Amino acid sequence: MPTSGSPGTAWPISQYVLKVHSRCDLACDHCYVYEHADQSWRGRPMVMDARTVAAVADRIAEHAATHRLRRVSVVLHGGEPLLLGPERMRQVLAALRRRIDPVSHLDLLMQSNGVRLSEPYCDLLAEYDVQVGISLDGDRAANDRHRRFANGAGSHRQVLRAIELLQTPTYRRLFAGILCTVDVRNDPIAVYEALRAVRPPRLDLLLPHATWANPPIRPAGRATPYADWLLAVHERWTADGRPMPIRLFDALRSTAAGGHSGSEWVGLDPADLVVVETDGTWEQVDSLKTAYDGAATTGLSVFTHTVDEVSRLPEIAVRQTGLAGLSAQCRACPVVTQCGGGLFAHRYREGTGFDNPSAYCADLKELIVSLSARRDVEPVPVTAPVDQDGTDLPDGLLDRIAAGRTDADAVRFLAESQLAITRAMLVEVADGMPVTERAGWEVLVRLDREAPGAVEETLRHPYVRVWAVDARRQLGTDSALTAQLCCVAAAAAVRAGATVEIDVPMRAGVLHLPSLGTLTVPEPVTGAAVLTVEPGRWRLRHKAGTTLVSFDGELYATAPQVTGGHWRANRRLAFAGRTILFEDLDPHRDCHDWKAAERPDASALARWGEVLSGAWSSIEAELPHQAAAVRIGLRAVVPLVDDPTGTLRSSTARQAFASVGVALADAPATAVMIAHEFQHSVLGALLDLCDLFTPSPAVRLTVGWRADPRPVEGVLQGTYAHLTITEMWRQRASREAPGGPAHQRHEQFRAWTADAADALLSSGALTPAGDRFVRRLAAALTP
Amino acid sequence: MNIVENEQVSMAERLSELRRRPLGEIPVARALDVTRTVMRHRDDAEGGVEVARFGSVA
Repeated sequence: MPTSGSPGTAWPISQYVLKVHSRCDLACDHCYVYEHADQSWRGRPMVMDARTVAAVADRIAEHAATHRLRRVSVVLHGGEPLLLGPERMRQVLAALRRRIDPVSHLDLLMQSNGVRLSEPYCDLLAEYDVQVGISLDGDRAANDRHRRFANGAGSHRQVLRAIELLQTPTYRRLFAGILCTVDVRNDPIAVYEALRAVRPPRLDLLLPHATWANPPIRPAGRATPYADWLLAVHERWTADGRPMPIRLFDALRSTAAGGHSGSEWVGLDPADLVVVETDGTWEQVDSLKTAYDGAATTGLSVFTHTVDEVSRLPEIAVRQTGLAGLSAQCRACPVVTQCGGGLFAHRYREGTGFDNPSAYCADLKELIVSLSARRDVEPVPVTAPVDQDGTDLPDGLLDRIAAGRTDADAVRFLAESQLAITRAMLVEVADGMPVTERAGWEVLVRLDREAPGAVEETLRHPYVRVWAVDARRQLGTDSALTAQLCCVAAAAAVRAGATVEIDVPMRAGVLHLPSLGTLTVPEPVTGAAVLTVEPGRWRLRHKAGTTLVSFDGELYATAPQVTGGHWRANRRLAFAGRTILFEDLDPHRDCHDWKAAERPDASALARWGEVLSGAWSSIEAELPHQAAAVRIGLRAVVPLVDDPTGTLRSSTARQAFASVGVALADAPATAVMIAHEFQHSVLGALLDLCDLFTPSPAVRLTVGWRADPRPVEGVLQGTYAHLTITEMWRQRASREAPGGPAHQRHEQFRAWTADAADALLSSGALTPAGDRFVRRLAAALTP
Repeated sequence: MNIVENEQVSMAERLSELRRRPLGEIPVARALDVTRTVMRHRDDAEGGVEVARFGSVA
């Protein structure tokens, strides 16, 4: 069974660090780029030119398309990326967005010293949705110990000014967090307090780069000074109630419970990232520069080599192998699953290369052991046991779903479960908001008593849960996002015909009411507005004036009269003897594998109507055992942008139950895509209730329909979707002469599905319920 | 209506309680328990690691 890191395997790479400028305006003496073993920066171009940026963007887009990567992240790095200047920066950002956005969700990030951050720069970063991380080592004394200009002056004042800019309401959403490099000569509490004072959304504490050849500074008589320093911070942070996430501590907490670290510094998660230098050369992770001159070199270039070719390099592949890639000493260590050998670069020793424990081995072990032993440490939240046998589900449900016989009762049960989960998430979000910002919650609670049907209908909208998942992650850091709870409440009030007055957040002149539509005002105002909802009319008072909307009877049935703005209602299309939502407005719909399309015009909408009507006819004829479930279960279709090459596109978002994303195609192809994606939605809802597999970052399985080895959940989802596609092609083959294309497609899907089921059953990753599920699935392949 | 306090109740039963109980009467602890359970494979989703820069969680 191929696993991650198998020789010759092209591992999907989702993170790219672009060295867009190779120089820095600071001269920090602890910088691994300029002050450590590797000096390759001296021979590089100062900036990444437009031709190189275009080539990088092409390579990333090509790789993302090949591997169907849902998201890729590009980190602008240096040197100091802000040295590019706004105009050149705009060209870089535009080129990346233009080429990669149509293929995959592009998360653009920047790591900066902040010195040159300005309002014009922030406007530009906001325009291209770039998240900014700032490097700050603590209070003035701590920061200016290393982070100095070439003339010796400290940078603390300039960095704080940059952070203040990022703290303003306009730019707050750009602020990604603070990176702090530890120096044990600094007072840990003073550093912690200084960092806490600037209210970063996230904080990470980094050990200064060191190797066995160039060991860490250790004050005399102290065996584990870095562990001691970090433990002091941890103690204060815990006593403070953990006011912001600290990535190193959160990673160790997660790995203590058997979870993922999500960090390259600790744990056994694979590291799927590569670096591009200013001259277009591919490099390994840049922290390797601390080891020896040329340590990060690959000898490959964006002009001559694909990402797949980079990914196949043994030195990249070894980063995917988890425990197997560690030294014998590490593999025998009792804390290895938490430590993971530490940062790869820190393992270097002349003679044995990277086949060693970390130069911080003693500190990491002490840190992990001490955290585990601390009685006052809040334990990792332990959730109630999750069903692994399928016995908690209604009788026969698991078997029916597994066999591709999801019926109306099964889909109703799943839909009710999903609604309950959304309700739980709303409670969590509301509880995490300041009391002064809970007006929307209070309205929703009241409406839930007085008009429960209206609330229920609103919360069943698939993208309310997508928002809630985002909001719970951003609690305390993005009040504009959590404030959208007011929009949910307002939508419920409209449905209920209730009278409420509520503060709602506007962004760029737009107010979206989930499941209903979007109100746009003439000026691009951002911030709070006051929405008064009464039966048949609304009034929105905002910074640029007042907008009035009035309508007779049902909102859906009429064209509202609007003064001082523009209302775009959600539209519905006929499907399966009823209508479903054609969701082309909700900002949270853009969570699919491909970018959501902009609102189509009337003629394109008519075409969509024809296609969906024809697709339903196919589903009804070709999936008689599941058509009722699709008819009852499917609530929304999100149009996706077309593939430039004409390839079919469809997608399911894990948190958007009962909604599918589809790019426009003909009716028979759309039927296959809807059936395929609805299967994913059903299985996703089932996985919320029952564990079918045990997640393991190291286990990857090969399947017929993808070039790259896939994680277990991906294979399970794909196999389950292909069960239905196999059935559709079997039905189509039955209507044509033997040997025709439908017969070939049927045989192909049947073989892929059977082989993937076998791979799952022999993976060792399935729970008893999962084993039963896959066996039922495999049995259903034989009519 | 009483929320079932027994932690051994099934997920389906816990959700059924959340579905029936008015929003304003759902105990936060019960809601958190359910969201943590549902997001158990999501909040620390498998895949790549996050590099020492700030950005999206893998």
